[in-house]
Amino acid sequence: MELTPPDRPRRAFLRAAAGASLLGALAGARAPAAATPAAGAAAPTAKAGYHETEHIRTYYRSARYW
Amino acid sequence: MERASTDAEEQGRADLYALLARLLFAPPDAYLLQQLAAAPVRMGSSQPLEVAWAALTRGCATTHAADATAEFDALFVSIDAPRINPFASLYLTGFLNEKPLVALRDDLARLGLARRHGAGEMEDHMGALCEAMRVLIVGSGIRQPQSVEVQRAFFEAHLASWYASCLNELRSVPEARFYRLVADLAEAFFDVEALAFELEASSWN
Repeated sequence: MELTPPDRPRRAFLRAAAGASLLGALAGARAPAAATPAAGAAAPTAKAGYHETEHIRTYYRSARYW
Repeated sequence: MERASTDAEEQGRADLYALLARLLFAPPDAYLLQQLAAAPVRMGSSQPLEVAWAALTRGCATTHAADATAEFDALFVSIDAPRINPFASLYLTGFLNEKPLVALRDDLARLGLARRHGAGEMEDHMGALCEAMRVLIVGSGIRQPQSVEVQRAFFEAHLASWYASCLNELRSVPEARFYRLVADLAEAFFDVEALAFELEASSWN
C-alpha cells in the first residue's frame, strides 16, 4: 500500500530512532502462524541471531490484557 | 486511514509496547532474559532508544531470574505498600482509581476495549496502557489497527503527561537494578513515540 506523504517523515524518524537492530529484534519475534492474526501481514523473514519466535510470542501473549 | 498491512516500523512499535507490558506486569523469567540477552544490538549508536535497548540486553545477560523476581516484588508487589504504583490516576491526581481512570474507561469503551475478566490491574496501569497501544497499532482478533491519529489521541490523553514522572521515580528506587534499565527503555521509547506523533500532527498542517 502506498504511503501517504505525511507518514513518511514519521516512519523515517521511527527507523532512525529505533534502529534496524531494535526493530529487527522485536519484529523477528512475530511467529508466522501467530495466534493473534495481523491482517495482511506477510510472514517475517528470519532475523539474524533471533530465533524461537513462537516462544517469545508466548510471553507476549501472557501479557494479553484486553 | 486504516491500513491493511502493518509495516516494519509499526510492528516494531507494537512489539516494543508488548515487551514493556510483559515486563511491567511480571518479572522476566530465565527464558525471556536469555532471549533478550541474545537480541541483536547496534553498537556505537548514540540514539537514546538504541542505547537503552543495548543496556537492557546487557542487563538481561547478567540478571538471574530469581533476582529479577525479587526485585519486581520489592518494587511493585510488597505487602505493605509497593514502592511504585505505575497508575495514571496516582501520578495525575495523587490518588488511585481517580478521574483519569474514568476518562480512560470511556475512551476504551469507545475503542471496543474492556479489561479481560481476571486481569488483576486497573486499566490505567502503565502495562495495560502499553497493551492498549499495541492493540491500537496492530489490532487484535477482530479489532482492526487504528489510525495514527487515534493512537496519538490515546497516547496523549492517557500516557504522555505522566510516564516521565513515574519512570523517573522507578529509576530512583535503590532496589531497581534491572527495572532501572526497563525504565530507561520505556522512557526512551515513549519519548520517540511522542516526537513521532508530533511529526505526524505537524505534517498535516
